Amino acid sequence: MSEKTIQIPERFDFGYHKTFNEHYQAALAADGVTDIALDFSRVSYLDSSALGMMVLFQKKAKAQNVSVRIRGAQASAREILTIANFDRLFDIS
Amino acid sequence: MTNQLRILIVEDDSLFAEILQTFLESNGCRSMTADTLASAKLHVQTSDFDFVLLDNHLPDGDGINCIQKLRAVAIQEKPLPVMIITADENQHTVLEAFERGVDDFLVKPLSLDLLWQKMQRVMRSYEKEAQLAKQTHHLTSLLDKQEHEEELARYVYEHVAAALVSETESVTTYLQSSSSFNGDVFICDHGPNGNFFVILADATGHGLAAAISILPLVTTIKAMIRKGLSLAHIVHEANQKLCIELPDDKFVALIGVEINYNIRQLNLFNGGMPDVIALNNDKSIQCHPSCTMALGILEPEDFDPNIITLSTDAINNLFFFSDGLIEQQNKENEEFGMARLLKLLKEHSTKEPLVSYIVNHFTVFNEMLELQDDLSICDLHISALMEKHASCKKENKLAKSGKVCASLKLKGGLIGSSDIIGYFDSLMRSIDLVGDMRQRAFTVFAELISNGLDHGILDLDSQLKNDYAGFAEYLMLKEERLSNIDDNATLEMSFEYSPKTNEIKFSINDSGSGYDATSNAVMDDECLSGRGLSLIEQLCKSVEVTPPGNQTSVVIKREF
Repeated sequence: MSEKTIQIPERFDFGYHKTFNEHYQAALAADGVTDIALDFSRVSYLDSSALGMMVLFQKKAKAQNVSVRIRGAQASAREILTIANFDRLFDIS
Repeated sequence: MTNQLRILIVEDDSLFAEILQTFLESNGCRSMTADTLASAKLHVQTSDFDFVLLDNHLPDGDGINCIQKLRAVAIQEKPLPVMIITADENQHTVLEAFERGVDDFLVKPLSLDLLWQKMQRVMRSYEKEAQLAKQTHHLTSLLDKQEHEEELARYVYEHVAAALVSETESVTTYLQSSSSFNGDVFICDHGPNGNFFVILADATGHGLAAAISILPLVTTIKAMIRKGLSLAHIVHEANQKLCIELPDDKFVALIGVEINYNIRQLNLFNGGMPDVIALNNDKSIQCHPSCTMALGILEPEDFDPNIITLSTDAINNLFFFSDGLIEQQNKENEEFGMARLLKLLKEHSTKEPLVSYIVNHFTVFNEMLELQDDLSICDLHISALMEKHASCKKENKLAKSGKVCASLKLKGGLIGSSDIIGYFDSLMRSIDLVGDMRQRAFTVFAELISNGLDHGILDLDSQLKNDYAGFAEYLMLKEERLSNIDDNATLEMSFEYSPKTNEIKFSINDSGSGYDATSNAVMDDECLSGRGLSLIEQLCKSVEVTPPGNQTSVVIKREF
């Protein structure tokens, strides 16, 4: 098992989509990757376009049999993730 | 010897003087002769000599009586070696000559080889002396310089570190350095959202080297707390900074505690420090070991802070310390140790303050031995902090009054390129709006603004976002249209906050033709879009969309 981590910044919104795309494409292209963790420990702000990007990423990962988890989400980010029912799509730890 | 030696021969016997001169010149020296003391004085007053051969019996006096005078009038700065040559074998004369500072003594008739040996020996000892003096001088100036630098470093250290310990009730600390600089640093401060931060950092080693590793961190951490960053964010930034700024063999272990009074929780980070010990209300003890590496080792992408969240309700005290406490050895080379500490904590009765209780036991254990490492101990009296905050809150509520209103209108290209949400965020920060409400509001504003922008001004079709390829196309189209916004397009927002009601009223109006937000209200979990509106609805107390759909007003209320 090989886990890659993608760091998410304090503000995760449309402005970050390019960087996020680059990061997850690189992570998915890495040799032998089986798990990817999204490090949410810094995230304070999150909007629905970020949620959209995450679903897009989750679908791509699933197609490659890579599992995705969200780790370190703090209260406010966790609230938004829960409202969006993301606990059904991701393992939130 | 490489340089030609200059010898002064003071001798009234011209034949003997000539013998000496010939001999010395054959040994590579240059020599001058003087046949009286007066002429010898003139010589040393005008030029430098490496050696003086002085006959004791001269027409104008005894050589012995003249040694000090010759040296006194000599213009040279370096010392002047003098050897007395005399026919007088009287031991008393020899003694007197040495008392007057002569370097050696030879009795006529003399062996020239012995003379040469003696001269060389005298000069070598002068050389050594000179070398020693030079080294001493060098050393003194180095020590001087070091002292100055240390003084400067201490000044900076004390001024940076002094700003840290604003002694707070319910936070007890004990710091003791093993040298004049401390590599342990303790920071405690409040963030703008009211969260309380306590940080204990311990740099590798101790003394100046450790203090230097930690100083750059201190001001950064303080600034980050004041800016309102979360513990995780602070730890990430600190790790990155140290990764770049410190050499590979230096790093900083750190404990960070962030107390959120509102939700009665605390976040705990432990990177490379000894276990943080929670003393619970039910007298049980829980250890929280380090679960990530110390800061400055892992590259930012590999670093995971592994912050844990604990409820503040169960915890009475949070006790933590640097490894200087448990690793200190006593005279029998026995460590203070974690087991001893835990035993002490179990036996502690509330009568004696926790920190002084531990420090007393430590002092007894250690007797008067020097500390092997810096020692820091901190006791956070969580239950007292929570209580104090609860009573403060009541008082604060009475004091809060007034209202903030702001409106913002953007036209044309700037709509796409301005950081509108950033503007409202800093507005909310400037009025000390608490973190959780600000973060909710941020999400709501972000949704409303991107709706107004995407579906109003940019006229993007949200149906596009329903499938996978469409989503990518949507993002592309958005980028493209953002750079071509019509000059007449407008986006207007108004913001109103009153601390009394704890409500934010926000409305937004765009120049687009309006859209029906409810038409695609049905969504499943795997949808790429359509979450925006339901997010807004769940985060707000009320949402009102005015037909034809280009104006929305919401009210956000703080829940607790």
